[in-house]
Amino acid sequence: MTLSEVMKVLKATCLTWQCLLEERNVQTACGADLLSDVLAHDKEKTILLTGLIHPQVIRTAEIIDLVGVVFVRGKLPSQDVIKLAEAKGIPILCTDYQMYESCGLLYKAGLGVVSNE
Amino acid sequence: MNNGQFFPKVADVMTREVITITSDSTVRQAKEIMRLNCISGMPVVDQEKVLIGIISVADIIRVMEENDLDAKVSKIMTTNPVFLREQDTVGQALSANRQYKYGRFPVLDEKSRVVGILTASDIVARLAQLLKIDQVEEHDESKGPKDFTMQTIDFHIHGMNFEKAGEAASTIKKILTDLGLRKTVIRRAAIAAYDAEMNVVIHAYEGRLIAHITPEDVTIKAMDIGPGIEDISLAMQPGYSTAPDQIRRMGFGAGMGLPNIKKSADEFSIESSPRGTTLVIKILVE
Repeated sequence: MTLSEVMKVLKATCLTWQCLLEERNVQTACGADLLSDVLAHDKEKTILLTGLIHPQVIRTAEIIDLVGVVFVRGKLPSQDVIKLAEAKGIPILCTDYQMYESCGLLYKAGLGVVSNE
Repeated sequence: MNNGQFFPKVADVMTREVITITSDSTVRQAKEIMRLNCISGMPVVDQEKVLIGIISVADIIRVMEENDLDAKVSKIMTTNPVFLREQDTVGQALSANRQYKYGRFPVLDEKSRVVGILTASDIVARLAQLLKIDQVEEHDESKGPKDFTMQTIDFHIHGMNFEKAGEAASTIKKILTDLGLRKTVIRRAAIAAYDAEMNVVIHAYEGRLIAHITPEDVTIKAMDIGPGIEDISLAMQPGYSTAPDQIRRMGFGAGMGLPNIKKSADEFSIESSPRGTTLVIKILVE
């Protein structure tokens, strides 16, 4: 699934790197409000769904090469977060769906869990 | 700026454009200077720029209550103010900051002339800037040949500065990527460096993150000046955390930092005392 399909499924808006949405493939997702849990996630081509909207989310995304970040529950990040994501090449999507619904909708649309190779 | 130097000096982080006033000026003038420059205090100097006192908003409010704005600054200034020397370390400046609770410290040269001013936010801002300068230099160096022998990158990390937290790990990751190391090695090193960096930011006053890269292995050393870890075996348990609530609200402090580091490392050691903590993380390249 591409990021632009994720955007459609979640009726999301894109805040950064709209130009990357078509070309970025997503294999699985990680839904977490604990960044340590995200850091322990060891799959590739992952998007993060989270209710946290501070800059460390973007740092974490950069460290583990997330393909994008989705802010759930209609939360909007500050300009600092947007600027950091622009600088680091991390696409940001925002959806009004809450975490459980967002994960469910993506799972239903075919974005499953990848088993460890 | 940090060639073999442990921690930066006051001269590295202070603001050099310091606004001063002479003791024969009036309080009214002092008030205007402070209002126009949006500052809450300034050093009082003589004609040779030698420090003789300090004046703050609190002093001015006192004078306004007494309706005496035409009084001379010399009448209301605090004499014998606490000051720093250019060659003092940032660590000394921070402990002065903790001890005296003043908002700002004049910085003097060897002739007791005011050459700068230092606030706690200066320290944070300048360290962040220095870190950025380090990164640019190091990043350029990494553009060199891929058959490198070894590289060492050294970062200062400042406790509680969340604005820049993660930049050191991010730079280490970029350099490892430029050197063409394997993806899994880069990922493990980046995660370990980031968790170690966040530990310093969350728990320590200041510290260093050093990455030593050879064709055989990547060694990341995190050394901090901080309260230390009381019980290391407890801290190594997944889920155990001493992080304050504000940190947990940011999504950290889940008690997974050290276990994550250990999981990422091929070799891992930790030493801690009430003076600070040192982590050594080694990741084999092949």
